Amino acid sequence: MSDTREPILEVEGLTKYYESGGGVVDTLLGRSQEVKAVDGVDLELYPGETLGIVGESGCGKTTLAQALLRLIEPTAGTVRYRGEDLTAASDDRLRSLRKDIQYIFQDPFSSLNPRLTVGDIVGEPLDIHGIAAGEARTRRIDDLLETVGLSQRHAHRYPHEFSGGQRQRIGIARALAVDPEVIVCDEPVSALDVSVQAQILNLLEDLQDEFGLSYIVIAHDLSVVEHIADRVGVLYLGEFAEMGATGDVFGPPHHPYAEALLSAIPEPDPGWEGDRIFLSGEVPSPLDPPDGCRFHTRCPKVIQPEGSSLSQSEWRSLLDLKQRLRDADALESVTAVAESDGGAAGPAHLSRSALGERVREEFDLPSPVSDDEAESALSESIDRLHDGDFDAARAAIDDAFESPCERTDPPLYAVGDGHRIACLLYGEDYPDAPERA
Amino acid sequence: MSSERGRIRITGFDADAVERREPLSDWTENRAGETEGRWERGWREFRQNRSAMLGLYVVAAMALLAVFARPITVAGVTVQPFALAPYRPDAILYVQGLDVSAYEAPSLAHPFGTDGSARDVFSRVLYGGRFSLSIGFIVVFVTAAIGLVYGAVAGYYGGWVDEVMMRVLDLIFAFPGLLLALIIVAVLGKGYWELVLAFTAIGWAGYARLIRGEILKVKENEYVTAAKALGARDRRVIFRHVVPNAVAPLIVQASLSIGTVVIGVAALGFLGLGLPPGSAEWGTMLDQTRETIVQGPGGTIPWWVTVFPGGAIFLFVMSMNLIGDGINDALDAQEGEDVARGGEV
Repeated sequence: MSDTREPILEVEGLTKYYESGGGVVDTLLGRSQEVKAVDGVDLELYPGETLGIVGESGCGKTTLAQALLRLIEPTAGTVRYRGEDLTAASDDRLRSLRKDIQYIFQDPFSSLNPRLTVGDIVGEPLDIHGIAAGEARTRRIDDLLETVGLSQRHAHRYPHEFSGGQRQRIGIARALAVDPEVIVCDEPVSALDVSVQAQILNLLEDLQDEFGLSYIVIAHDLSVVEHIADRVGVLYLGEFAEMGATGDVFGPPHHPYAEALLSAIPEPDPGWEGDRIFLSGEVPSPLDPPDGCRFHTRCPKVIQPEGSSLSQSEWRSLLDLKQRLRDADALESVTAVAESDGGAAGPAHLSRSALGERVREEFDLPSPVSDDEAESALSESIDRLHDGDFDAARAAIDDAFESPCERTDPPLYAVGDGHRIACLLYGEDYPDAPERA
Repeated sequence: MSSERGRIRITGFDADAVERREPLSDWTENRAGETEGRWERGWREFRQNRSAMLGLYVVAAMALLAVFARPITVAGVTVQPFALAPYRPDAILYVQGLDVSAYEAPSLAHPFGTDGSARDVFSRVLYGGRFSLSIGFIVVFVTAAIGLVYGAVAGYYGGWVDEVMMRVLDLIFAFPGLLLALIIVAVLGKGYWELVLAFTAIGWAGYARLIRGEILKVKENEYVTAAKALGARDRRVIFRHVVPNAVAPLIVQASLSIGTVVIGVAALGFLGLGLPPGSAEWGTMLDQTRETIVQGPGGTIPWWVTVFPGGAIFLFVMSMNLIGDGINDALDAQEGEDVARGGEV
């Protein structure tokens, strides 16, 4: 993107940790844990552009959006609007800055006060900032309602009389009332029907042209982001995995996570033969995010140490086994469930060879795996498991299999004009990684 | 077969044509005037509730009778000249030269009979409504207002503020309500405003806790965040967005506890700790005549001196409860545990 222009909004190191499980007593005793919802996010928003932020549930999208506006206090970091730091602004200053930065909410059913008429909802920002009163206020409300495709007749109705799409329009009218420069849209269409989604997205685009707005659009729906955004950031566990112009992010080269997300877009063409990438494991808890690259626990392209000659899927499976062992205290959690078990005896009573088969079955590992060293480490670990010594089994496997991704937290490497990817595959140390095409 | 992603296109549906087509019926979106607000809807439902309306009529009638029982004079000017009650409530009739003795049975001249000091019970019951009703309404209004603000502040700000404010509430709740009122009256002495103060001191805590819980729930709504995002000050957010959405259970609770307060006042009166002896307050009247419940002079029991004041208390409290239940149904506030019934102290 053109770096010659000054960004209208500049975010540096924005961080929000939540205290978890904390009553007052827990806090005093230092027993509380921190949920790292957003962990050091940098972004810039240029005038007139739309920045899309995508990610799956729980990756910190909404927290990021609300921390941007200090609707929740960020733990650290700065948000600069036209050079002025929002995080350091006084309450009064912040209140007047809210005229310039507005917010559109995800749920049109809970974001409108059911006790106020639509006219009062849209007119509220006018009252708060003393923009218009009396006759002028009524005219402005009518104008706003018409701008978003409603009618001034609606001003005396209550929100419950409207459909979801109409309510979202009311929310947009409310945000527009103060004549903002920047609007942060938190999942603006995810609560709406597909046909209505298109109307609202088109409305947002029309308003952008008309008023020269800049948007930050949060979404989990990639097609929404592709439709509306000029640039896209892919968020994973509170950090950006990839960031760049929409076309760059949606085309290769990809961050492995973004690639998996893109492959999950439903495809209406029955003749479609593209591959769906399935990620192993679950999203790690933000209470205790993985060291190194946050995606390494699920990454299908996780890097092998030098000299290893395993196939990529074997390598992934071995790392899965290693992670599973880490908090395992029973054999059941690392063995496949056999249908012919008859419920008689658990895996503890299996012979050494039967146990080995079950473990390999659970993790889809061939016998033997294609690398000799790896095979011996795996056998050693299964031996120890058979003895019931979990610590030794863990040690055997921990030493043998360690990916660089577990040690190094990758920065955002530039791979093109404004296109940055946080993956070691794109770093200087791995110039000939298969992905770097 | 391809691996190019396609786009969904809808054909055969022309949105403009739908907008422009002939209307299928003559229904128009334009409705006359403003739409019905929540309170109008509530009032419409309340009116359809027969028992609640009955309660309302009874309370209104009792209030009117109390107001018009004797003339009201403010600073020497008579603002209410009517006198439905034939005698002054404290007039001892034989002293005034009338041919009346103590404990005279109900007759045409004295429909509720006379009491032990030969005072007209009918006049006293009518006039006594002034004490019970006004204390009930004043106490509930003041306690609900205090509880609303206290609970709103505690619930909205949360954290340490909430923690400290709720511990203060626990202090109040640590005392049995009526006992605390009794102690306060015993310390301050008997009197109208002392009673109001005693019941206010124990009454506001319940409202505060109720409204705090509601506000904890309401403040999670996105429209509260939306108001903050618009730059609204806390006061505006609390009293325009949070409280109006949390106040329905408080109104139900308040209407039900008017009865509770009246019972409480009568109870203190009966224990001899209400208004000064001789005043026409219903509970105090019962106290004055309680020995007659067992046996009166001459072996007869003058039932009229206890039945009529007691009946007045019963009628008023029951009517208030009917009204409270009606409001509860009309506002559709949640029923059950956190809304206590009137009469429970």
